[in-house]
Amino acid sequence: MATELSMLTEPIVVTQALAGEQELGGRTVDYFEIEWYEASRSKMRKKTQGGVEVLVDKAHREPLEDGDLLYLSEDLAILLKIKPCECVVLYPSSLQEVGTICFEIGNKHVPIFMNDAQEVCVAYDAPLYQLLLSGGFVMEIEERVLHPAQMVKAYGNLARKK
Amino acid sequence: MHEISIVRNVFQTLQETYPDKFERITKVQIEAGLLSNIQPILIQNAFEALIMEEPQLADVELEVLLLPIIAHCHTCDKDFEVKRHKFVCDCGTPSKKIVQGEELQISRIEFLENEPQDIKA
Repeated sequence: MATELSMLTEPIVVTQALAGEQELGGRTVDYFEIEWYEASRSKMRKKTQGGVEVLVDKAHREPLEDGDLLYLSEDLAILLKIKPCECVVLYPSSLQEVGTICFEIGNKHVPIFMNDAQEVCVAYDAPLYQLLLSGGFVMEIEERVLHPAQMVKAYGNLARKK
Repeated sequence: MHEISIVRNVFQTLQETYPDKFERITKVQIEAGLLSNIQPILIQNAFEALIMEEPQLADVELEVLLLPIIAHCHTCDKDFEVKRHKFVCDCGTPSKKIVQGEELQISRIEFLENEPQDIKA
């Protein structure tokens, strides 16, 4: 079925993620891959890993999330996959250090992510890395998936809990 | 931090360059080198904000392509990818000759019912 869909001239149009927790059964699972910074895009047209053309055309500004179900038919399920990227991963030792780190990074208007492992992550950027290095923070450069739901908002809450 | 003005400039440039076809633009692709000091997330957010101001842009897709840094090694006479801002070739020779990575350009425009147009603006 995925092969047949890839031959369609019109893309599959996705206006929002389908309700989660759906049983995929024996369906073929295909992935629509995006970069972490594309999750908020209201419009994007790309091919899935299996070659199916998908047009995301959202009417709202809610970001898509890794694992979102975009399409479901009798034979095929298309899931969203956020590509992992190189990140500066910081391991703050105190709440005060979290604040200092967020202040330094926030001054550059770059989004900060706090994951379930209590790591503070930011997409790798050489000048920012050097800045943090000079501040003596404990950090590593590692690959992570930056989930929109884990983005720290300026008012201190997480954007969207799943 | 200057992404909102960049996005505004992109669409102003397109309006000036294609006054008759501007309304038919469906996709704009921007290439940003890693040395251009551009954050793609901020470009995307700035574009979403611009759509609120200019709703006619809601039908346009904006894509940002990040270009890796490529430098040239005089010893090997080859180009190499600069990773994590280490401008040193595998052979150990440092290089400051940048081949790619400083760009910030409109690289592709697609129009409704028309062939895509590759440009460097």
